[in-house]
Formats: sequence, structure tokens, C-alpha cells
Amino acid sequence: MSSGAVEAQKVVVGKTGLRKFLEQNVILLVLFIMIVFMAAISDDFFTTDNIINLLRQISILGILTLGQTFVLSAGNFDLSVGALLSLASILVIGLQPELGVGGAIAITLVVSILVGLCNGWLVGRVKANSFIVTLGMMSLLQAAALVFTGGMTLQSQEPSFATIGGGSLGGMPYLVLYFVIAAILFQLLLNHSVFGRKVLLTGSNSVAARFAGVKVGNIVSWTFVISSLTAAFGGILISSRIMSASPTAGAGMELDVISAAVLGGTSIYGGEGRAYNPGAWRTYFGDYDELHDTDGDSVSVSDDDERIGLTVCGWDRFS
Amino acid sequence: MNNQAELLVMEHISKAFSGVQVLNDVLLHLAHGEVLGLLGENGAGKSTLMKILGGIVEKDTGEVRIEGKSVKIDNPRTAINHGISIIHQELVLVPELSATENIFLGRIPKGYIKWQEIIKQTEALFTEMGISLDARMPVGEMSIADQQMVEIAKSISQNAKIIVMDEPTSSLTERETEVLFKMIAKLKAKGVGIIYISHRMDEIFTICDKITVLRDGSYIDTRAISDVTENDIVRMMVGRDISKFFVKEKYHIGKAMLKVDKLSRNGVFNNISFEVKQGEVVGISGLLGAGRSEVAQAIAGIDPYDSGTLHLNEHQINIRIPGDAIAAGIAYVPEDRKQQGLFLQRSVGENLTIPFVKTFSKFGLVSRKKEETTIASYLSQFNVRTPNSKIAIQYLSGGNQQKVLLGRWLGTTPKVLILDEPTRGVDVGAKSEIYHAINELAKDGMAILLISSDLLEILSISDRILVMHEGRLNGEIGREEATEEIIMKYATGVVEV
Repeated sequence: MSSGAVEAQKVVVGKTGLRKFLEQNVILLVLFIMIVFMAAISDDFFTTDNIINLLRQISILGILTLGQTFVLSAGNFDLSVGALLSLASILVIGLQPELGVGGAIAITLVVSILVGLCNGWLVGRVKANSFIVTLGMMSLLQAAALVFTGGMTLQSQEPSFATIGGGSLGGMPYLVLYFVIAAILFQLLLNHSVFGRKVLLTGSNSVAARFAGVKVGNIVSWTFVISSLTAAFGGILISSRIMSASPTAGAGMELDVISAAVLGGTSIYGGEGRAYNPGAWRTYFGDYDELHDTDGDSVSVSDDDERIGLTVCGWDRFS
Repeated sequence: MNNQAELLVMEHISKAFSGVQVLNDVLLHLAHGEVLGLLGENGAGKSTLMKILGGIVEKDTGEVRIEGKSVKIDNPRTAINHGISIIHQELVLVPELSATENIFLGRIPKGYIKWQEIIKQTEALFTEMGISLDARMPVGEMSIADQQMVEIAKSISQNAKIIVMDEPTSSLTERETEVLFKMIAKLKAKGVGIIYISHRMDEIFTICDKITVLRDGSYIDTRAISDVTENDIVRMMVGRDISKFFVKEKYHIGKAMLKVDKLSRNGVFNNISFEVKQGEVVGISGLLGAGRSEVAQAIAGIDPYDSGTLHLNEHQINIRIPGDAIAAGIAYVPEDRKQQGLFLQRSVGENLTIPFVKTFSKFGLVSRKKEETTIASYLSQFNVRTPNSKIAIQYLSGGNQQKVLLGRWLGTTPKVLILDEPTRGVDVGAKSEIYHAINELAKDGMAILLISSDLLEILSISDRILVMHEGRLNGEIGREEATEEIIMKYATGVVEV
């Protein structure tokens, strides 16, 4: 028996290694085809400017997607990220006259942590449904953003603030660097740390996780804090980049973020998650976006593209 | 029925899943009006063989003949058309739909539906079967036994010639089982061939005409039931002799390790006091709902207790959450493997190490190398049959899953091990391996608390047996004087202490 098992193991590993990778990463193939297609129909596609522009566009959504990946992996949703991004982008500019750039950023991050703790407490401890809790939080935050500005757009008067989101290092925008660093860190955290292990197992079976001594409530709370922090960071970056803030900057963004995470290989049923792939997906969306508007300022993704992506994903999962 | 060709012949059936041979040249014969017991340990290939018959899985090689004609079954629909009906262990009826709708699901004529007529047909079917069920009642509101009858009615209405029943009695009471057996007798009389899968020996001998045994995907033998004994069957299944009565050896029993004093939780259990010593196996017996698991889960920090104290190794301990119990040295292997124990889609390794994964980490990052070494040593120690430690644990058999869970909890280096129904749904081979593991642990001085509904199991491996009845401890029996009868008397409350 034992020798048979060893042989079986060889066969399994040998046969499924490449196939398994392809099955889990059909999305990369699609991305590759898209890139070839873009390059074929547009002469400007493979220019350095365009590639950098493209990477910059995907970065903010990418960062939020990384946070969302944790929430999804633990088996929950965070619908409040779009509204939190709006509120953060407003706070970070609105508070500058009184507190200066540093103070405004600090307060914005503290607010986002409180939002995350509140979501986490309601979902992790009170055991409320995350869909409902974060939907409620979304309305609350959106309302707060509108009340704070009276519906107006705010302008930043602090030139130093512009470097955070607008600066670049050797031609590479800070935004892209943030995303790359965050993607590496989050991948490490999700798939190589004790915390990440607990997140994934909680998402796989929260009852069994509790029986195994995992403090499920705490783990869930932390995932929401992480997601909120990425949303706030995203808000700060957007404001810094355009030096102004609109109270509806992140409206509807939660759907992009969740789709990107799911397309990247994170299960909406929890228990499976990867941080490195959402980046790839954002690139794909970015490509498409690039075709529609070339000014490079918009971070939204058109609905049609999203649907195409989802269809591809559905085909991948059910075939 | 000699004038007809044999009802079903499956010959030279082989199947491999990603390189693992799960069926190897398997043979199966079934005659009209015959009940064939299909036997084998978990993972022997019974389910795969039946899935091939039902068109759910495609075979690699081999031939299926029905009444002499070679048939190609490539999807469930063709299987049904060939008169094959499979009743799965976990029933696949739609709970919200009525019995009628379930029976005719997928076969309701197109266009305007004449419900009255269809319901009448269903009622006629029930009358023919001799059962009284409401044809309009949603099946979700019926008992499991009645749902099973609906499944059988569905098979009959599809003119099934071959009915496969996979562990049909696993959630039936004794009386319901009798009703099922009567139904099987009726089907037999009509010439239907039945393939009956079960782990329960007494049923096999009551209901089957002959048996076919598989082991590790290979065909072992087919014998008339009158020619074999229970021991023969077990030997065929596991390929070696296993004494049915495992007898735990008695080792040195040391000082009291776990001391439970007047533990109570309102309305659940009351005033529970007992102790478990080093090297001792204490069994807790009792009927379903007597509060055995609840006491164990209170000790393990899963559910709270209202009053009482716990001592471990002479120190009082305060347990509020599972982490407290684990830290103190109490490990609880839960009763419901799927709900409370396993992370089905996660790897075997992750399932094994979760309570002590911290020990392989530095600055919060898991060292895969260190972890892998430990995983490998546990998997070989418990003889877990798995191609590797990376595959999702859902692909292992029940026995192997249970061995992984046992390893998980021993990895926390407990002083007290609580096992709640450790061999439920586990095949004979794995069962004996688990008993041996318990034996070895006791020998090394572990204090073990064993909860089991299997009286034979309790009797053969406990040093001392506690019996619970309606939330109270109702009797303590030493190993020498314990018999099934005495336990049942205490468990049912016939004798009160």
C-alpha cells in the first residue's frame, strides 16, 4: 500500500502541476490575449508612457482589492469601502486647514480604523450578516461625506500634499510602488503568516475554526480593519493625486473591488484567497479602460468590461 | 427467471482519477429480484462503481450489460432510461417541493400542467407501495424515512429495474428500517434488482442474497450470504484478521489528571462530578440527548457552564474559550467531523496543524519547511492514506480524515484527550487503527475521556464507564461488571442512582 501511495503521489503531482496552475489562472491567459489584441490595434499601447499610465490607473483599485481579499477570505463582504474611500478623500483635504497634512492623514486613518472595528464588531461578535452591516455602513459613510462637504468638491491648498499620490521615483509613479509593495506584503500576510492561515480557515469553516481554538471574532474584526485601512489609503491617494475631493469619488467602487478580488481567485464563499492575482486582474481592466479614455485620470472601470470579465470567470469555474 | 439474461453485469471496470487507480478490473453481477450487498471499507471504490453505473462518472475501461445488451451510460439521463436508479445516502430531493413534484421532477409533460392528474398518479403509486403519505406535502417537512420512501416511489415511477441504495438506514430508526426492508422485499418480488451498500453487518445478513466485496479498488469476491460469516466478510474487506472485540490492555493508572466538580449548565446538565486519571480511559455512555457532548464541550471551552469547578493536574483551571482549554492541555476531538472538525477545501496539512501552527512560526510567518516535517511525521505515525499533504482534505475517506483530526489534537500535546464519537462513519480498518492509537496513548499516561454511542466500543476500550441520563450522571460501572444490559438500564433510567 505505502509504495502504491508514493507512486500515486508522483503521478498526481506530475500530471496536475501545470494543469492545475492553468486551471487556476485562465485569467492570466485572457489577460495575455487582451494585451496582444490591444497592441495589435493601437500603436501607442506598448509605449512606456502608456504602460506606466495604465499601471497608475489600476493601483488604487488594486490596493482596495487587496484589503477586500482578506474580508472575502474570512467569508464576509465589505460593501462600505467605496463610501469610506469618499469620506477619507474628503477628510484628508477638509481637515488640512486646521491640522496640517500630517494631522489630516492621521485622523483619516484613525477614522477608518474605527469604521473597520465597528464593522468587525458587528459581524465578528454580534454575528450580524456582513452584507447588511456593511451596506448600512456604506449609507452612513456616504451621508457623512455629503454632510461634511455640503455636496461640494473640496480643494487642497497644501502643495506638499501632492507628492504622496502624484510623485514618482525614477519615472515610476509612487502609486504603482505602493501597490506593488502592498501586494507583496499582503500576499505574505495571507498565504504565509499565522494570521493569514487563521483567516482562510475561518472562512472555510468558522465553527471548526472556533473548535480549534481560533478566536474567530478577533480574526474577522482584523480583516475589516485591514479592508478599511486600504480604503482610507485609497482615498488619501486619490485626493493627493488630483488635489481635490468629491464626496462621491468612491461611489459604486465596492462592486469593482469585489469583482476584481473574485476574478483574481478569491472565493466569495470564504476559505480561498490569493492576494497576488487581483493585481493581474486590475491590469486587464486597466487595459480596457485605456481604450475608452486616454486621459488617465479616471479610476472607474466601465460596466461592460466587468461583465465580460465575470463571464470569463463563470466559464472558468463551471466548466 | 432463467429465461432472461442476467439483469446487470459490469465487467472489467477500471477508473483512475488524476493518476490514482480507484477501480481496477472490477466485476459485478446482479440478477432479477436479487439483493446484492456491495461491501468494502471507505475508499474501496464502492461509490465510484455506483457513480459509473449511474452515469455520474465515466469509466475508463470495461463493459456494462443490462439484460444481455451492452449499454453505454454517459450521463444520469441515460442511466435512468436504462432503468437504473440511485438513492444516495444524502437524499437529493428538493425540500421546498411536494412529494408529487419531486417524483415527477424533469418528467412533467410540457405545456399546461394537469396537477390533479399527476397528484392522482402519485397517490396511486403510494397506495401500490402500501404507504400513506401526503402527495402534496413539501418533502422538507417529512421525516427522513418518509423522504426515502418518496425517493423509492420516484424510482418505481421511472420503471427502475436496478435500484442502488447507499447506506439507506444510516439515519433511520429501527422501526423505519423495518418498513424499508418490507419495501425492499416487495421490490424483490417484482423482479427489481437491488444493490445495497451498508456498513451494518446485521442488515447485510438480514436483507442480502449475496455479497460482493471490493478492497482498494479491486474486486475481491462474490459469495452467497449463506456461505459466509461476519468474520469472513471482515477478512475479505480488510485483507487481514481483525478481532471484532478489540480489548484494551490495562496500564498503570496514575493520579487524577482531570477533575470535574459539580459542573452544571441550566437545563442541559446538572451537578456532573467525575475524574479521569493518567493512563485511564473513561467511557461516557448514554442515549442521544443525554447531555454527554454538552458536558465535554463545556470542559473544552466551546460552550459555557454556569457553575462548578475544573481541576487539571491538581490546579484549578478557568476555561471560557476553546483556546483556554487547549492552553491548559485539554483537547476535544468533536463529534461532527464535517461541521466541527474539518476545513474541507483546505489542505490535509493545514487541517492538521491549525491549533499549533504558531510553533512553526517566526515573527508571525509560518516556516513551511518546519511545518512540512511535522506534518509528514504525523501522517506516517497515524498511517493516513493520502497522495500528499497538499490535497484538500475532502478527498480523503472518513477514516483518514478522522486520523488527521486525531493527529491535530495530539499535536497540541494534551494531558487530557476527549474523544466524541471517534469512530462514527469510519470503516473497520481505520476503526481498529484508532483503537490502537487510544491504547498507545493510555499506555503513555494520557487521560482519555471517550464518548460513544457504540456500546461495544465503550465496553471494549474503557477502564470505567459513566452513564448519563437526562443531563445527570446516572451510574458508574467498573470494566469488569459492565455489560450492554447494565449500561442500557442506567442510560434509559430504569435503574436510578
